Amino acid sequence: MVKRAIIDMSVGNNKFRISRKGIDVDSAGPADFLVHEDYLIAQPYSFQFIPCSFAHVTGYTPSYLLEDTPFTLPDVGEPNPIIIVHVQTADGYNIFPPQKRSQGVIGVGSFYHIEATYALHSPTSGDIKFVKYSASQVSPKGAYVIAYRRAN
Amino acid sequence: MARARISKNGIEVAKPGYNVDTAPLSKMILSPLFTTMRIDHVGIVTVAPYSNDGDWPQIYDQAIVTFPKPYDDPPVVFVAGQNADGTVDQTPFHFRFESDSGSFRWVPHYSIETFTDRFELYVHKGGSSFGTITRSWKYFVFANTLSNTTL
Repeated sequence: MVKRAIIDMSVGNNKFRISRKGIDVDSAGPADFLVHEDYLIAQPYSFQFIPCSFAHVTGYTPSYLLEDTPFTLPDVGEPNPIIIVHVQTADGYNIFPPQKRSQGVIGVGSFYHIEATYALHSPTSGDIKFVKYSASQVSPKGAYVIAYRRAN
Repeated sequence: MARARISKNGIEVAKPGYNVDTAPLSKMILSPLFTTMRIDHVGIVTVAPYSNDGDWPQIYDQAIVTFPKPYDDPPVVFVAGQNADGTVDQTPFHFRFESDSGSFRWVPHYSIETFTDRFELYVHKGGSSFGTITRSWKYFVFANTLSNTTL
């Protein structure tokens, strides 16, 4: 069990820190804090990357691909989670809102016409719907799914 | 009845009316069991016409914000258009007729493309049925908590 928290409000210190699970707070790097007195934070309850099963598909054949990829959320008692999806392109950058349709010469370079949308079936389960449209040279790599509780 | 406690696991705060020692996770305001998204950068950019590389249509203006230090993985970026009357614009898509395909489809009102070293913001120029779309956009860059990025 490692030490994960420091609360020191003595004059001149004012440390208010929590490290990630499994990380010693005394030796944690800048990216290893859940809370730090120098940072503003938001606190979603789930943050995950869902890979697209046909991410490797390039070119126009098959011309149209659609697949529902299931994901699960932890049960934190939230009946109606707020879900935010960022689609990641095959080139490794993220798009928000999660749709990209290049406007240029079809067949030149990484011509994108992709999207990722979501459907929740219950508070703890849903699908990401990945789409590669017929005009797309490449497929989505995956999508980030972020879940928040409602402020009530 | 205590709503907050500090333990070796960190800081735990329960909702009003709940005892932190017995409250289930659904009644916690702050818990070390939840993920956090640290806000790394906040600012305002103005989109402007740019030299199009063929990737985005000419009906979009662009702004590029370079991060002070590159990330290992792209961070999470959100934006909000700053209207002159003090309201904000977060419209994701328009529904319109596309002359090239001869059909209706959704087109992005704005789009954020986030790389490890920068993000590029594209905003529709507006006009016609779109009306006026502000050129001034506030941005929020959140650390990607799945990566082991250092600032």
